[in-house]
Amino acid sequence: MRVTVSLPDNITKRLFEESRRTGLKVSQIVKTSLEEHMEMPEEVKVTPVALWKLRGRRYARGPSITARRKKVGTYYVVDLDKLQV
Amino acid sequence: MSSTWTSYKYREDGILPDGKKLPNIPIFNLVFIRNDVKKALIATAFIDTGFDETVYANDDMLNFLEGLEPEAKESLKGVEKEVECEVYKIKTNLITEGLKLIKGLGRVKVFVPEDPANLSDDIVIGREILNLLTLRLDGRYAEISV
Repeated sequence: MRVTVSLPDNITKRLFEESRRTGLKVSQIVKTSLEEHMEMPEEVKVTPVALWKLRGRRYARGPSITARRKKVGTYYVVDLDKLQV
Repeated sequence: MSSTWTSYKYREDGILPDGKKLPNIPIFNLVFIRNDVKKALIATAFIDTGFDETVYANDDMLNFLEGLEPEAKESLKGVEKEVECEVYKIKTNLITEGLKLIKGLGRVKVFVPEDPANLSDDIVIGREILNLLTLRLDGRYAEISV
């Protein structure tokens, strides 16, 4: 549903700054803020929950728990019927 | 009866901006199997004797697990904070670099942090699995006896 609300200039400015900084849509930030304010977390429809969170962001933030700076392992998915193990 | 050893060459871990080379990493290879979608994730597993648990996920594992329901939630104690994780149980086999089966490990607990910022770069294997194996590490090769 589309709604129209009036916001003070300083909040509107912060909202658009946050949108540019995070890459999230303005509506997504408003929605998340309202859910938190009303203690109504969005139902998780994708598991693992980290995948669901990543899809709401453009980038994962914060450091990895490892000290390394890049992936060095090799990972790929295959069809089971192509595998002997 | 003599045992057979399977070898895996250490992986290079790169060079820091100040030019210092990071120590190479002992690895072995695992395959994680999802019979429900008929898919398998073939993965390099980083041996981490400092990790108490079984498997800690990276982003490749995250995508592989999509759609599965976690079996539990547990927290792991990190260096500075508790890391809340979803726990999945996935059929896992130890394999050679040529994808030959070495040993089945059963349904292994895979820890997936709820915050993607806490994902590991690579899949990490801890002592709950390592203690089931006979390992030999010499700085160049990780060897497993079967």
